[in-house]
Amino acid sequence: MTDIVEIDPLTRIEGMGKIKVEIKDNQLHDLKFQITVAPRFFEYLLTGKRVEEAPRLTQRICGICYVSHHLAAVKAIEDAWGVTPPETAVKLRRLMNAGGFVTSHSLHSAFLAVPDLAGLPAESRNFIALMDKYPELGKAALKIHAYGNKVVEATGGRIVQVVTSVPGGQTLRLKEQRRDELVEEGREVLELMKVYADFVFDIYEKDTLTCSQFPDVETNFMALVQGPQCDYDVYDGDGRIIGPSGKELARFNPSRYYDYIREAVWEHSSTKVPYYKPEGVSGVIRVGPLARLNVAKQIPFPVAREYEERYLKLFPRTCIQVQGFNLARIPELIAGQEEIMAKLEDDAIIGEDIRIPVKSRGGEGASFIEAPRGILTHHYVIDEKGLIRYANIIAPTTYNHPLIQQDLYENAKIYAGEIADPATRADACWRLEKIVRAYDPCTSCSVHMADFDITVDGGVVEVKEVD
Amino acid sequence: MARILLIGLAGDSGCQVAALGLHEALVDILVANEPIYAPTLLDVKEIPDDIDVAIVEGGIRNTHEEEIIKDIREKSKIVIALGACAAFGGIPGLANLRDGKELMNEIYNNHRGTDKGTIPTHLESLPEQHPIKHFVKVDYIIPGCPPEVTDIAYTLTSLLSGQEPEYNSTQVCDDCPRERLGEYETSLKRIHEEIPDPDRCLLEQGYFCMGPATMGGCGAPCPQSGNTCEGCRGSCLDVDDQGMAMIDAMTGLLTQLKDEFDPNLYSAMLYRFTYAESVVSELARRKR
Repeated sequence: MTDIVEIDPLTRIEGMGKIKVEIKDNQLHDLKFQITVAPRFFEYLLTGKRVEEAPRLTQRICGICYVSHHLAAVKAIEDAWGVTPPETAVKLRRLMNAGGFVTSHSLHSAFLAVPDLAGLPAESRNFIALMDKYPELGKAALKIHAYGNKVVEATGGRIVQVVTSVPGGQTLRLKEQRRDELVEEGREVLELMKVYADFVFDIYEKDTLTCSQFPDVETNFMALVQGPQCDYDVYDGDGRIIGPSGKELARFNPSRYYDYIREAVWEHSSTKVPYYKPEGVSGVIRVGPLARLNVAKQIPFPVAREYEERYLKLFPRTCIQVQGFNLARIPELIAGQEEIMAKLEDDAIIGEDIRIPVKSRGGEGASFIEAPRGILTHHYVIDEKGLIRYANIIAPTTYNHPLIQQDLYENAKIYAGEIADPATRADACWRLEKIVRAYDPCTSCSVHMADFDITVDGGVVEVKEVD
Repeated sequence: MARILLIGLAGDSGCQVAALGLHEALVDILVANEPIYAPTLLDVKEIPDDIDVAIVEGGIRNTHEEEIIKDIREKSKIVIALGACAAFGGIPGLANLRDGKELMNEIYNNHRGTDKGTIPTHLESLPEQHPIKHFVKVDYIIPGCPPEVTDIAYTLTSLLSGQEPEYNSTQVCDDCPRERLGEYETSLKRIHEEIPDPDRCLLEQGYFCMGPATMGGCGAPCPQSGNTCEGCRGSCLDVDDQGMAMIDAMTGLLTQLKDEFDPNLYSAMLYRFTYAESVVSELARRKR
């Protein structure tokens, strides 16, 4: 007898997706993780457009990590043209990027993930109920999120889609008075963050089962690193790939990404799946908070560093546990805030020299940046009129897609009986949804529609085409 | 207590994030009413009956989304299109410039760095991106990419208190503090090539600013931040086609031009957000 159970739609994720589980005689027969957002063909719609449009057009890929796309695009163009923007402009961009991390991570943590962890009843695992049970925590989360938005607005001109990064620099200065207001409020926000962080850490530290309740899949990891010590940096640096044991497989700058990353296409799935080229299509890579804390040596900010230490006690390197994602986001949230404070307190940030005029010309350039969900690549070929002739964007969620699928499969195998039984189904399905949520997948970021299938062959899980 | 639905279709969730910008005010609206379906916030899986206000973000690009919007319309008293994708097709509508099959080949089979030989065949994609009004009656739109939080709050509070919200009847230029002198530059400029005068109208200086052809009410944040208006709020009230309105607004500039006009440099810029509902896209569809 075959039971088909659909979790449709997946809730508390960004965008739309579903899971379809087939169970035969209490054994898992098949599982599909599907993104139901339609493909939107961004790479195509960029061709023929003025290249300076790319920072503004590509940010519409994602309403949450729009800052990352905006900055990745402008960095790639400047790479193509060999342009170095003024120091203040780079600092303003770093400030904007950190603001993006604070909004995105606080949004995911408080609205999407923590309602699962805070002991709320099954019928009301949501932010409104969280706010009801822990009003101070809820208010702190809203305030943190709002502050991230203010930083983005002060540097980007507005929120949810920014306007200020152009090849050669920034179009908007940060004035001294606005800077001072942000510094003052920022100090308070950092204190609120510690309270919020302690709340989440307590949950994990008191119940270590939260950390280890899922079987985990071994993979490679990739993140941006800076300098010989492989320091943590979310704005600039080299891509670094490590294997499941932590061994470095490759370290490369954006212009060489083709040597290490390729994208696979399957007949019955329409998201492209990036893989580590030397290992072939099985060389899947995890990206995002878990990957960053695995790949980079340490966070260079003192408060975030303390929380990173606490995190590493629960999830030592190289951590392959999916639940590490949710907790890894917390030291990163604080790192974002500390980077904001460091940039604001540096007087270069209010400098007037924010732009150099740049002539349009031909060229080819690529960039890396860490989006909140993982490493993001933009790559453009530009003709001599300054129009885009080729665009390639590798969004972080595309790396994680096959891993979400594999994790779901491994877990559904264990819960198959519970999923089949209507009495225990709701709880078992909730556990599956939590896996998807931990990754914070950005379904609209994956650009193309996804439909994966997994089969099990001799105990080895392989991602295969659907037949 | 109104029963509220909030959903995102073919879009990027940015409108819902923009709505979150209301922070406590949004929580107050939700708590004072009855949010019954909102996949980004709540775990309700079935779209319930008897919806008072359905707020829909994103356009329609596959049959799955088409079914959902029809289901929502059937069950709802009021349907609001939130943001440019739902209201006019948005930036993804620019992909309508080319045939769907050709596009698939380009992206999956002829793209550097992507393995060749396979084109996904299972898609139930529609050939074009559509605003939701293509399939169902829409009662109100909240324009913009992103929509302004003040517009979201105004529209919701009006509707929830039984009042008709009114659309803004101004253009972005009415919100813009830049000075207009009625004098135009003799060449068209690109934003990174020169540094514009911070106090003068960008269009008069030769930059392609969509302000005169775009519905006001946003406070003109883009020109105030040193960049051009992209036209994300769609055409002004009582104007059918945003691109034609822009050509009209540019007459002063175009007649002054000394350089040769190269149309390749302006691909889709008249219709960044409204191509899917434009008169030219209708002509292109008929020709195809």
